[in-house]
Amino acid sequence: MSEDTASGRITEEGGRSLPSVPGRYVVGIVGLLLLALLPLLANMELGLGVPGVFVFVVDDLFLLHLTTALYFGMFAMSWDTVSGYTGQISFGHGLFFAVGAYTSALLNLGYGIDPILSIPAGIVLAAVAGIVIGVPALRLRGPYLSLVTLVAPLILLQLFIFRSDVFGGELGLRNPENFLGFGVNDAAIVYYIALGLFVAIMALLLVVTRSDAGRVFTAIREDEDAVSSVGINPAKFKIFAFVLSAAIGGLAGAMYVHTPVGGPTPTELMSTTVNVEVIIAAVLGGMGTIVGAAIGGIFVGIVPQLLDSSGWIIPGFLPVVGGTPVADIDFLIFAVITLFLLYVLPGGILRAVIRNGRRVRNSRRGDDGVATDGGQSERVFTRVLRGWREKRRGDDDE
Amino acid sequence: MLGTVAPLQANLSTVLVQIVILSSLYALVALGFTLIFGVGGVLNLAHGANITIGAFVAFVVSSQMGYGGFVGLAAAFVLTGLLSGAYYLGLIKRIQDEPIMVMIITLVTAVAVEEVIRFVYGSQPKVLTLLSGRVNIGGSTVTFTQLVAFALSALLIVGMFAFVNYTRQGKALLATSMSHKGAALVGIEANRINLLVWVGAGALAGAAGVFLGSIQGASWAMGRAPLVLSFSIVVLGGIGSIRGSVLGAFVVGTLEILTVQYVDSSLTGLTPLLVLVAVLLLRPEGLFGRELVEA
Amino acid sequence: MSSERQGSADTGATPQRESYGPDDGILVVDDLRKEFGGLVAVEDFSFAVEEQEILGFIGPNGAGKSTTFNCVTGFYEPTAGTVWYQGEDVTGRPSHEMVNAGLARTFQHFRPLHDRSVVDNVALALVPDKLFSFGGLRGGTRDRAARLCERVGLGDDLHRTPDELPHAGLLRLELARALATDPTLLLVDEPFAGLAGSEVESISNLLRELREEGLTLVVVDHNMRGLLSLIDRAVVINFGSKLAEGTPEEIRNDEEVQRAYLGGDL
Repeated sequence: MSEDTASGRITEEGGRSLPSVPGRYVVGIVGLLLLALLPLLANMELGLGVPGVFVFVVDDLFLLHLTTALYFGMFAMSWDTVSGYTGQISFGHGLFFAVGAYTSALLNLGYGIDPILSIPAGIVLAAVAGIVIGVPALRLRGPYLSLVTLVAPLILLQLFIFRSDVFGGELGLRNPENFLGFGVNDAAIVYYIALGLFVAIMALLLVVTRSDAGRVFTAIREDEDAVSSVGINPAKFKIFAFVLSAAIGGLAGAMYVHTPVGGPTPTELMSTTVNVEVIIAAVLGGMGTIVGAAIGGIFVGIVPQLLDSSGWIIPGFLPVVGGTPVADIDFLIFAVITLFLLYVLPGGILRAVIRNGRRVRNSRRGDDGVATDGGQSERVFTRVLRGWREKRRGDDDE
Repeated sequence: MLGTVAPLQANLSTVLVQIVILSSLYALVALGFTLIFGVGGVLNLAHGANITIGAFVAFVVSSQMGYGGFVGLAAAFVLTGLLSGAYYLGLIKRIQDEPIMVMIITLVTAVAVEEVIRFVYGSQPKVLTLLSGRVNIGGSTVTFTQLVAFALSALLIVGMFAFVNYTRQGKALLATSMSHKGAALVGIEANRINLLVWVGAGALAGAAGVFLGSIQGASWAMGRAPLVLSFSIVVLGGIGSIRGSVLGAFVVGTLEILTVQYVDSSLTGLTPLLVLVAVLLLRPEGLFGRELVEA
Repeated sequence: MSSERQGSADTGATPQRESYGPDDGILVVDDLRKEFGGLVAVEDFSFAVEEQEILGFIGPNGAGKSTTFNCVTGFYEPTAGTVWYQGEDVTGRPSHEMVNAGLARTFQHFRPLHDRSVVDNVALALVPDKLFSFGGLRGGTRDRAARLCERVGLGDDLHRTPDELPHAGLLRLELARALATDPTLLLVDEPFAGLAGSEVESISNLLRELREEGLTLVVVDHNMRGLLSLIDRAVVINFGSKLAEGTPEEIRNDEEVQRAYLGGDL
């Protein structure tokens, strides 16, 4: 029986927790396995068991759609790294996606550089973009910071239009070479490459966010001055988050345009739709968890395709939208659902599930961890803005 | 979003007329946004959507239902205002203390509205006529619509200024913009003021939408450029400063005209972006604003 | 040092200009000045903190205590003046650097991190200022954090969130977090506000123990009663300038100080 000291109490509780792997990890691993095995189910029909409902065929086209969704998931994870964790909400994250993509595409199309080399160049330039945004952002807080991120892709687009000869303007450039030459006929391979990258990125981001840097990130979100007061330089970590997020976003973008499903166009990479969709994805999945953003990203990426294949039609009796295929207004539906969720569950679905799970567990043992893993009591949003609110009210000091 | 008709390398009076006309329209566009930002302390990213809604309400009322331009304008003014008020009560009031949340919600709303409008009315711009006919002022051809826009802008701005500075309600508005706590201490109910502000801002945006729509046609994405413009003007002028917004509108308007006339006409629309970035980096509190930006 | 050293503004006598050098103490502030626009919050303020003493920093509300505090700890940049810490010029250095140099502080308005437990709050202070660090929770970090919590009396509250702590508990959390940075000098900002008598006693004892263990302390407060029995010496500030300096006895008997507190009871 260990001494009743504080540290004794901790190891005791720690000991109790080791054997059981948290349920959500099990679900995650199962999910990944499913994704990995999917191409082996080629040409099988999958459905929800109810005839005619959500039946889709796992064919090449489906795998390519899922590839797009995977890249979007990577993009969403990159967004979560900076916005969900440090609370610097990026409203124009497509900027990094596009910088990585265009750099790689231009090097490939213009100079014949192989994707193996042009993609790293895309990553580097995207990281530079992260610095360009992150450093000035240090001087700004809250909405003003977000405003800068909102405007950045617009400026980039203006540049693309101004020099259409180089950048292809609003229509973008033609497709560059496929990565390692795998094209439409190699759907399964393209898919596996995407899946591999997805897992690698998730692993990397999980390692970073579960390390000490992760607790500093979330602490910055909570209260930057408190972080300074414990001898940690918040600026350093804020830039780190931006650069990491930008680099990952750039990596995803650069790889994406070298697949048969992605092309270097502003619409696909940094349109308002994309920028808002990534926010929706991370919000639906749960900000500040990485995994939530990944799931949200895949969800937002694939559901429109599923709806399209399913051929569902909105019931005719509904005003305005009655009689149209669901797929046509998928973005609208997402937006509405997100608004609803933001209103009711501002932390996202994943966080709500985790919170409920943790509540059950907490009654049996001590706390599990810190906000790197879904957060305890409050919504991420509330925390991000409390700091802003406090600054607005001002200190009551003399 | 220029719509002015004048040859390049035009003379000074032409340029001046263009600047005045354009800037007054810009000021009208930005006014509603200023109010919400200044008083409510939040960035309403659905401001552009209000502009679009106003334009389409006018389109429906004046063209589809045949009531004519001015009825359409009035309808846009009233309906957009009411809609904005309802939106505030329904979605915003609950989270108005959380600016980032408001930004996200209004942004998502904005794209949702765009989708709905695109779905219902298609992608082609709709023609919106307020008044036909044009006149020549100082070497520049100015349409009557633009004149009405200018007159209305000037009227609304002066009216707003007088309201805020000389009436009780207006002073309550000022007080709330400076400090919610302080305002509450003297019995001003911030929520009622905010509702008033959102309704007013919506109405102003609706009117601006009608004018913009009559210049360039009403289309689903027409609210985007005005939204960016509003940011620039408001950030440049400083939060909570109507004077600042008007001045900001003129600065941006002047820079825009000068850029297009004398530098490169394909650079249209870039000015507000650059102004915004420059201000945020160099002097975040703007020309007349209070220091709410840097901690 | 006795009260005869300080100048007297209203008798018209020229205030004696004190000047300190870097070796006058572990923390030396010379001619500190902080202006906010046209407002002078701190004016030519000088003092020295001797090693392992408990120095009281007293003044009414609005006197400039927090401003001085923030200038010294790197949260504000002084308009003029010099700050020496352990002989080194640290004027204007950012706060996290000051902390890493050994100068820690607590906040008057507590700033716990609400998204994590007490022990995790303290654990953050044990994290090095490096981008890649894996001290983690399972490692020694958590044990050390737990021991620190025990030291300040939060041993039973390790897994509570700050929302669940009473006022005194939050103060202890502030202290634990500051102690976790392994400081040589600790500045405590208005600790006694809102504490019951027994808690004041308890916290005072804790601070005395910390001093015995080698820590130098500067305690800021506007409530003299709680403070005078704890401190060795006091510096009194009013309207941004030094009003008096000396032992608690001297301060209690000083006319200027009595007047500053409106003839109030000391």
